[in-house]
This record gives sequence, structure tokens and C-alpha cells, in this order.
Amino acid sequence: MRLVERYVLSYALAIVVSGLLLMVMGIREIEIYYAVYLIEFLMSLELVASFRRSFGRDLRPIIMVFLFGFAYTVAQRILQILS
Amino acid sequence: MREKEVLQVQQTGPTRLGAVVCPSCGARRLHAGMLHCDQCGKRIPDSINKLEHPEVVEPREESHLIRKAARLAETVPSRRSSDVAGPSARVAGLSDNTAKSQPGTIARGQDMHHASVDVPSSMLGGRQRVLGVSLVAFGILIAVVSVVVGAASLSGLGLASFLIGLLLVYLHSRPSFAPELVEASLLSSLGNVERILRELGPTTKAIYLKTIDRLDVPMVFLPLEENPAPPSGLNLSGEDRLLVIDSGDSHRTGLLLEAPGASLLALMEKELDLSFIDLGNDDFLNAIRSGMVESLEVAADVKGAFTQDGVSFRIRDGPLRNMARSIARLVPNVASRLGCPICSVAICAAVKAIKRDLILEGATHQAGVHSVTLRFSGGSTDEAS
Repeated sequence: MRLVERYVLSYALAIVVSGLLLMVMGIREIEIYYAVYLIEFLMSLELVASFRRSFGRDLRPIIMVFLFGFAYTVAQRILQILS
Repeated sequence: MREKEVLQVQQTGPTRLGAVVCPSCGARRLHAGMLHCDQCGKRIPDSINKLEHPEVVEPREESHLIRKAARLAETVPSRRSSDVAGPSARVAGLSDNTAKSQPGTIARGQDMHHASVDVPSSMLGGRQRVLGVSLVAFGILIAVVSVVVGAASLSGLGLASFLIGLLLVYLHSRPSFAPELVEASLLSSLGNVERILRELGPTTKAIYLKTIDRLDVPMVFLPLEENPAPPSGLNLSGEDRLLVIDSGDSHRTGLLLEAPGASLLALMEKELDLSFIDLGNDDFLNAIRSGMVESLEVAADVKGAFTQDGVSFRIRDGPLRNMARSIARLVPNVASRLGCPICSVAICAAVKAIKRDLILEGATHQAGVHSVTLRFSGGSTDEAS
């Protein structure tokens, strides 16, 4: 199995398992799911990028999108606290 | 339905129906077998005269590359020139075994099914995109349902599905290249090296020269004179010539070539973010393995071992097995005496890590396995340390 395929499969497995776990724990905030998925994404990417540096560079747009989403949820939470 | 196709696969020089093009002046001759050109008077190389002409092949039905060539033959049945069959036919026959003595010749024939082994990659890519879009749609659907039903925890799974789908679609949108394309772009240049080796005809063993700096390009020296005990260091680092002639020392006269795997090694070092010159004897075997198997994915497995007087590698072919097979058949001198690009990567990495000249004792390519044996130039391992 190719490195990319292994990466996608392992990430998919990780987020499905963690998603189910969070569901069982009764977590209802989507921001928490998002943050967990983002952490898993970055962790798995770092593991794969140790073998292939260009892979990390190629996925940079996706990382930016994920971080933008994360920044949005953080900003929303701050506004919620301030109001 | 099986049908017989006549593929007209040609290269510069020979044309169909026994005609030959003079490599010097381009004049077309009426029939092969003549030794000298009518126009310029120069000698026609034997290699051109010996080339076989149209050959009947039986394509497998599932090979779309062969069907493409067949379609091309149907659409241009009346054209006879050498460039009619063109790129399609050339690509179709890359893994052939019929042109053993013709390094530049594009092969065709019985091994056409090799190309079809890797062809479904585009189909897999299509499936990957469909899967990705489906997962994105499923994720959005789940998120909407969770909002409508009021089951907030479901939206977590919807988000997961959405993200995986997005990743699949994005990864698919990146360009990927078929192994056949790599093979096609490599064979011509290796064919030229093969011709140089054949014309000059040295029977000596190639010496991979040590690199001093991390930015040095690994070079390989092929002495023109037999030397059973070459010196431990040839000191050719300052040379930038193809043909090195040293009147004072005949052992330093020979061909100085860039190693076939030098560029691949540079890419491997870039991907691994390390330089083999910094690695010790113990670490570099693991680094070669992870570089060739995980990073570049040019091999399925790499096993290396230190012996008393050298290093040996056993490399199992990965996605580029057809390329390796074609190289072993079409450019046998390059494959056995300099090493194919895949073998050469491992040799270059070893030279860089060990920091000694290595003599390539032998490189064999059989049944998807490359076996490379290297000997330290001028002494054993103990002397090195």
C-alpha cells in the first residue's frame, strides 16, 4: 500500500474512532470534534512527513483551511464569552 | 476477440520496409544492409542495419494502450514513414524483449501486458474522487440531519466524513504520473550511455567515486584499462570531462559519468531531509530502506549487508518493476556495469555514507529482484575504519 493511501486510511480510522468515542462520552459541541480531528490530522501528517517532506508541503493548503476553521471556532467562542 | 496487429515501431535510423535513414546526413536509403551512405559516404552503424522490422503481436484485450496503438494503425493505414506509429505505439511497447541489442529501440511485442498492470491507476484515481465526493456529500447530509433531528453528537461523525472526503478529493487533484511515463522518459538517455559503452567497449568494472562534500554529485568512473587492484582513491574530484585521459597513469584513463541514480539520490535526501554523508555505516542501511521504500516508493524492499570486503544489496522491485525489466533488457551494459537507476541510488548512498570508492562487482536483475555486489576499492572494511 502506498504511503498516501496508508495516510488517508489511518487518518480516517483515527477520526472515526475518536468521533465515536466523543459521541459515547456525550460531547455535543462541534468545536471539540473539530479540534480533535485537527490535532489528529496534524499528528498523522507529521508522522508521514518524516518519510516524505514534499507531502507536508503539498498538504499545506488543506492545513491552512483547517487552521482557518479552527480560528473561526476560537473567535466565535471568544465572542460568546465576551457577550 | 483476439486480433493480430502489425505495430510499426521505429526510431531514428531505421524505417519500415527495410529502409534505413543515415544518422549523419538524414538521407533515406532504399534498403538495409548497405555499409556506407550514398550521400555523405559515412558508415552506417551495424546496430541500425540489424534492426528487425514489422512484427506481429497479439495484444491482450484488457490493455488499453495496445488498443490505442491498434486504433492508430487503423486510422492511418496508408502512411508508411517511421513517425506514423508515433508516440502511442512507442509507449505501448516499452517493456519488450525483442530489441535487446538496440538500446534506443522502443520495444514491442509479447510483454505488452506489463504496461496494463499499472494502467488501472487512473481508474483508481477516478474511484477515489467519487468516494471523496460521496463522503463530502454524506458528511453534509449527516450534519443537516443532525440539526433537523436535534442530535448534535451526530454532526461530529458528519464532520469526520466531510473531512476525509475533502482530503480524498484534494489528494486526487494532485498530478500523478504513470510508471510507463517515467520509463519512457528515461530509456532514451540510458540508450545513449549504452551506445557509448558499446562503442568504446571497456570491459572493466565501474568504480563509484567517493564524495567529499554533501553537495557533490556521485560520479562513476569506468577505466578503459583493466586494473585488478585499483588504488584506494582515484582523486578525480576536480575532473569535469566525460573522457579522462591521464598519460602518466593509464589506470586514471577512462569514462567519468554521473551515476545513473545521482538525481534520485538527491531527491531522496531532500524528501528525507538528511544527507547520507552525515550518516554512519550503521545508520545508512536503514535510511536507504526508508528512502527507497517509503519516500520515493521505487522499491518494495531493500536489504543491505556489509561483507568483509564490501557491501551487497538486494532490492525487490516496486511500482517501477517494468522499467527495471526494460532497462535490463534494452540497455544491458548500463544495467550490469553501471547499475540501473534503482540499483545506482543504493550504491550512491553507500558511497556517500561510507566515504570510500566502491567497485561495482556485479549488478543482476532477475525476477523482480536487483542484486548488487560492491567491493571496497583498495582494501577491506577494517582498513576503512
